[in-house]
Amino acid sequence: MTRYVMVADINRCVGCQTCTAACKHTNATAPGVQWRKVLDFEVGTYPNVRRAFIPVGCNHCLDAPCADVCPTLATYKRPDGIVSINYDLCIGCAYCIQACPYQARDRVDVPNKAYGKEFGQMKHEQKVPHSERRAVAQKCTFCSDRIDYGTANGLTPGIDPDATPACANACIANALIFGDIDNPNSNVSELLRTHKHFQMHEELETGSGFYYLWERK
Amino acid sequence: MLAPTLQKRWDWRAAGNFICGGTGTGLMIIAATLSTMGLNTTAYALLASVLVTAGLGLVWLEIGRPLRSMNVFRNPATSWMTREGMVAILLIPMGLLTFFTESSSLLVLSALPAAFFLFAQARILHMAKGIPAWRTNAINPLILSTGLTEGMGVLLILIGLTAGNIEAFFKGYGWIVALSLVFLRGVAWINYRYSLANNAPEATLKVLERSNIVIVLLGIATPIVLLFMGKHYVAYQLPLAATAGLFMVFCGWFCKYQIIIYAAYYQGFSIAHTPARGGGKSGPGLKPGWRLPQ
Repeated sequence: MTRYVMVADINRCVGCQTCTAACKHTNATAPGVQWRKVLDFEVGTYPNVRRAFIPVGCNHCLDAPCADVCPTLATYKRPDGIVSINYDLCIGCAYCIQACPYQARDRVDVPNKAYGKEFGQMKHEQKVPHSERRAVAQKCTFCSDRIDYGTANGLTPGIDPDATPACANACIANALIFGDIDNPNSNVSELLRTHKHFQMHEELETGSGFYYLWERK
Repeated sequence: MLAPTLQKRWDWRAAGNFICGGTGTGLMIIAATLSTMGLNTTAYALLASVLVTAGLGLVWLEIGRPLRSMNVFRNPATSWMTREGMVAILLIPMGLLTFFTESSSLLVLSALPAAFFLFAQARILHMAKGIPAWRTNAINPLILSTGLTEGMGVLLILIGLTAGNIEAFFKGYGWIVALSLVFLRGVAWINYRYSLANNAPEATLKVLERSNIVIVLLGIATPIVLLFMGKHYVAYQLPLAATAGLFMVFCGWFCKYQIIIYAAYYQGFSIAHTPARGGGKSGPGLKPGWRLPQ
């Protein structure tokens, strides 16, 4: 079996948001929508202040609450663990948005206009309008089209850039690592063996596919 | 930005479904219950069906792709939204048929899909894992008891329309049922708030604290006093029962509106540990916007 997950080494992440930009560039998401973003956590008071940059997005959960509640089966789990959306089935009820504990889902009802009504749509927005995503749920796909292309051409997701999500490819600190957790020899399995890690909101038992490394064992 | 934010996606239209659906199904169940106690309540089935239909109509107005709405029936295996829609197909015509045939037996039968519909509404909120104010187990008894109390409230408001009902209500067990429902809703409300203490975002708790006084005073204490007064002052039974009903309905709608629109903060973000920078050590985690202990 295969289950693709993302590992984020929070000791490495510098909060540069290159992954955010790469994701927007690759997926042409609407203004205000970020399938991948980096949160800036600050804890403590001067002089004992700590800061952490935490990449977030869809966790592609094992027991995905969004898929359970979806009345249309538009949200479904692929055999490789990626939680995907069939935009043509989705009715835009937004139930999945309420069910996701990671605030990873959005619904955009209007055509993309980064600069507002006054300027209308930019040329690039007209080229990739993604009207199939309008008024329905949308979220990170782990760049499943790249993974599908890669696996169909004998490439290894997480190793070969052409088969790896854009955010992981773009990370300047190699803080985002993508791979197959079911393969004991994969890059992500090795990292999880050698580092202490946690998942966000573990108490909710979603089986998150997003691991945060915080200390070497 | 890191603290939990208020959900904006389900607005008054979604709240309207829980309000109308809960009141309509509650009315159907209570009408069926009271019909077994000698009250003539078959006419309420029409209003119950209209309310449920109105609630679903409001949801239809809210969804992004209304022309695809039939897709809602595709996932009965796990989605309570699908189940709610499916049972509505049974419930609404049964309610209409009850009204036109004036059959008490059919009314009692209609109470079954009504109960399932009401339960489905509770479970819809319960399964929304992203919103702590909804996902608690205590939301189920609260939504059920609130729906039933609202149904009783509507029935009391309109009880004067059918001759003999008000006398039968206070002479028999009807008023005891009404009192019990108000009391049970009070218990469910306290249980709900208790379940969220230290288990919900700070902002959610503030909203619920603000709502508490309204719900306890106007939704629990006032109807109980009015119902007792109605039992003792026979000449004023009708206005007292109708006023009690008004408070019962108002409180239920207020409670649901608060929970769905104002208390519905998302889970937010948290980390179990902060990283070690340079040669330093890793530090404690962080859960912005939540009360400690977590």
